[in-house]
Amino acid sequence: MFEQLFATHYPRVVSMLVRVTGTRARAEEIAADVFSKLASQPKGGEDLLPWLYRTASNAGLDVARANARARKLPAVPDRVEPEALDKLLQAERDAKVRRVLGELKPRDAELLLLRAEGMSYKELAAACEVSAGSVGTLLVRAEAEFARRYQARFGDRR
Amino acid sequence: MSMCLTDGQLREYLDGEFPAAGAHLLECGECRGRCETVRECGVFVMDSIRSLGHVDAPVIVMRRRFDWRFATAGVLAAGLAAWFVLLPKSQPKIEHVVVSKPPVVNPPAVVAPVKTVVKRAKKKIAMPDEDSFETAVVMRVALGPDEVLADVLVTPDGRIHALCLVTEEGEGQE
Ligand SMILES: [Zn+2]
Repeated sequence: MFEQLFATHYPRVVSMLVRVTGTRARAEEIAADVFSKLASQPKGGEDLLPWLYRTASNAGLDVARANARARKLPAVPDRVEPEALDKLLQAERDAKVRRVLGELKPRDAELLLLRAEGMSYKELAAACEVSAGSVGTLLVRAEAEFARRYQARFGDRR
Repeated sequence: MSMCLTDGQLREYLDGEFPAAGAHLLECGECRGRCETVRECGVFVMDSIRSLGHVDAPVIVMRRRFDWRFATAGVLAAGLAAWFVLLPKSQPKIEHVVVSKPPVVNPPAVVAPVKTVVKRAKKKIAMPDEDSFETAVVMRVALGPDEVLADVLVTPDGRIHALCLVTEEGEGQE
């Protein structure tokens, strides 16, 4: 049972954590920790999915918040190669997105992250412990809140 | 005209979860306008999150459950271990065993966690046959009367390719 859960959900958890933490090493570290806790649960199974995703996304968001607090914006040199500039701008944009994700309510951030991983409404309902009929409403609210905070903090959508 | 749609229903419509909303949208300009706002916002948010980077699905190599066929391999390994343990000790240490050949660019290779604390291989003892191989199964076996733990790599043809004595994590020096 645990092996089945691991094979199905580990890749998704890691992928979500890479997005939110920005490093694969950290993502795998968190995922391994969460799955080892899952393995020690006396009764396994699909009913542990909400716990699994909530714990993983919360741990990832903690990292994103800590990084946002610690982060100093990189100084842009006078002359940089176009490719390096692209990377710099992408890193800057990533930091903004992670910062806003870290500011959302944990469940809103979790919903958006899992939706971005391609979860269906049915899967989202199971993973986030909400009714299938409320997924659309919760998603649209979480998206609106993300966009509102992003624009309030950074001024535009770039 | 049917009742106007909520933003949640518009989200569902855009995600293909509520196709019936299309009939109302055809006749209601107000809902079409809000639908476009919901769509734009959703595209912005999802594009933002998806641009954070993506990893290809990790390659997962599941440990097999204990199998008597491999127990035989373990006994064989025990005999070989007794001989090879006398070899020079300066073999490279390995901290974990990766037994996969990733099919895509740099995916994380993963060995399924077991319930016990991850143990660290203290030393690798080379086997005479160091042929390369693509897949193998990691077997943990107990050697000798003292039940010294060791990991062996067994390829699908039943051959053993490496043997690692195992110590508890954090115990002793590497
Ligand atoms: Zn309407």
